Amino acid sequence: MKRCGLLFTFVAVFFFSLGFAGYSDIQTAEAAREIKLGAALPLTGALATEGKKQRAGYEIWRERVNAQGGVNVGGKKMKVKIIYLDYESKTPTATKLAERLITREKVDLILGPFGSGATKSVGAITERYQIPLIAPVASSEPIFDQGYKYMFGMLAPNSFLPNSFFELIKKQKPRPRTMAFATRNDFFPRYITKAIRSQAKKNGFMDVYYAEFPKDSKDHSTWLTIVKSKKPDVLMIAGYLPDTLLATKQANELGVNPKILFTMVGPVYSQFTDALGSTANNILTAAWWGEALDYKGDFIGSASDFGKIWRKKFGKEPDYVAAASAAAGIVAQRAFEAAGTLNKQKVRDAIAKTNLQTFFGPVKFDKRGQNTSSAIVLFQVQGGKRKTVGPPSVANGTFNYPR
Amino acid sequence: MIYIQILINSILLGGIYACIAVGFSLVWGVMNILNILHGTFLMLGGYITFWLFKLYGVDPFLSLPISAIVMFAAGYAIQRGLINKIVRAPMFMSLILTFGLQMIVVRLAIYFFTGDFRTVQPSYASFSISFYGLIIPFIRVAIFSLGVILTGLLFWFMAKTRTGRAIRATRMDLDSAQLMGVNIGNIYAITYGLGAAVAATAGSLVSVGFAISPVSDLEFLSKAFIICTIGGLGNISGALAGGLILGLVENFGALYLGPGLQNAVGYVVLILVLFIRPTGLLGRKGFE
Repeated sequence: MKRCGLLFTFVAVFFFSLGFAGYSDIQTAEAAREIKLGAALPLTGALATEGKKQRAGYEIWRERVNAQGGVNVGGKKMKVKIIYLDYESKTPTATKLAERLITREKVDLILGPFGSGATKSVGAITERYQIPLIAPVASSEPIFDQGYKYMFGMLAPNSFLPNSFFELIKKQKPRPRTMAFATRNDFFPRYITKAIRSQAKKNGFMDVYYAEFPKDSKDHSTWLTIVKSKKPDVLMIAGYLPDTLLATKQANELGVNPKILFTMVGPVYSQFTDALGSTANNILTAAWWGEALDYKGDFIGSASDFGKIWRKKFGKEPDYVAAASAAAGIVAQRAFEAAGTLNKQKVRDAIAKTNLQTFFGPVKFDKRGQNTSSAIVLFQVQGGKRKTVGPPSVANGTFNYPR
Repeated sequence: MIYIQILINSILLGGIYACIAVGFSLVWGVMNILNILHGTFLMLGGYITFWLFKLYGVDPFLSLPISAIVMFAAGYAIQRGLINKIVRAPMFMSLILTFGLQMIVVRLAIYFFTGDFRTVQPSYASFSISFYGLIIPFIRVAIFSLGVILTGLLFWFMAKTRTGRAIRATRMDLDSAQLMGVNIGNIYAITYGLGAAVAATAGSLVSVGFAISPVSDLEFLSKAFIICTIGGLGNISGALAGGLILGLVENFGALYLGPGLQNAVGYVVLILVLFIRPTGLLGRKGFE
């Protein structure tokens, strides 16, 4: 009997709190003089570092906006609130949390999760509920080829990479002729490898080796040994940080010494250069942004200004993940201002018309929602410093060749 | 030539694999505990080496004894304080308890160390001996040798010392050992501490040869699990054999079937061994 009573109390409390939750939602919606944004991020698990960088980027923007009174929406200054949920680096959870942000938290706009895979899943949800999604870290074209109207990506498409890449390496003397590829068996690394590999022949390179390695590979010695025997001029390693870190380390041990070592992702991350020290020197990599770039905007300032803000907070160099996240905030802010309302359809239309110069570079979305006015920049670590070596329009250093 | 190089790589990898597994095997064999914390001890040992190297410039190989001693103490205390309470309970309880502890420690490690992947890259990382086009990386040889020496030391300890013999007696027959005056509580704690110390030293080596992060502990645990099952539980030579076999199978699997199936072939061999010799290749009946 006692147990029954306890159970009853639980059920009662449960329903009571449900009722309250609903009530408080109505309250805030009516009294809302704030813009509610939602972000499901990988704050724990394998991608925690990335998720935290994204949150820090969003927060830098939010603090700045709120410090100047908020966003001017149709003559009213509205403060910004961002609701963060942790999807524990599990994509299916990201989808569920995005739905919760939309239906329960009633957010006005969704800021994207990490990576192409999770963005693809979350994009399906935002499309269904017709709520704008600004994705700072998704660059694979297939996500944007689905005809979605509400999804916008801050990064230049992956297909921009081959052009800048081949333009740079083709003009080296003696001209490199052969290429080998190794990629983590995962969405983004495979995609980016395919993007380069499919253009190799057209650019006069012989494709001598291709391998895929599994997600949590602890040993890369076998394919590195095969690569060594093929003596390629260029070796491309694609994967996430643990993969490229370990593979570069083992390549160094096994004396695998191509004239050009190209890793994605690689030395744009300070974790990579911190961990490998001088071994990271002269490795070529690409990224969507770097502090050294000559980009300027009217909010936050220039690329190096963002670098200063980040350094002051965290004591290290920012990378494109953080920068793209903060810039996604700026795009949202300008869209709310231009729309003059929080109406999701109108905000979506305003985002589609975005034409901005920011510290992150130019932002202008194509019909599919990708930021095609931006560039993918090539970097090389030289004496512990990142230098931009291509494309020529943004380069501030010369490419060390052979490495 | 490429085959010989891959053979060398495999053996060098197998040595560290053996070292990863041997502590796990010891604890499982003697105490009948599936120690999920094994990978965590390994990870912590790796961080001890990493921080000593990063903050004070201590050579990674010199920090091995420090990780061993620190983690022995931690293991001893954890066994006395927590695991001892469930040592007589069904094996399932040990899984739950160590799994819970694992989650706590890993979350704390993420909080304090961040989730970043770290690796120790000493200045001599690219030294290697090369002849006839073959390359033997110095650092891998050092890791391999230390791994094998450590395993050998453990073997000697178990065979020759009084405590080692008591541990073996306890594994063979708990009741008789107790009747002969073996202090079971103490033996269990020492065994667990030893397991932790060996794991931590392996972790120190791993931080030089691989990359570590707080969340990589389960990946190493799964390697330990496969190696122990292949080689046979509770005996040190089993771990050594299992480690070498896994190293060979993974690398030659990668060569013939492609690197994408590198990890999968390990599991295939695991299943095959379970079919043909459920006690493991060097395991003996009645020791599990």
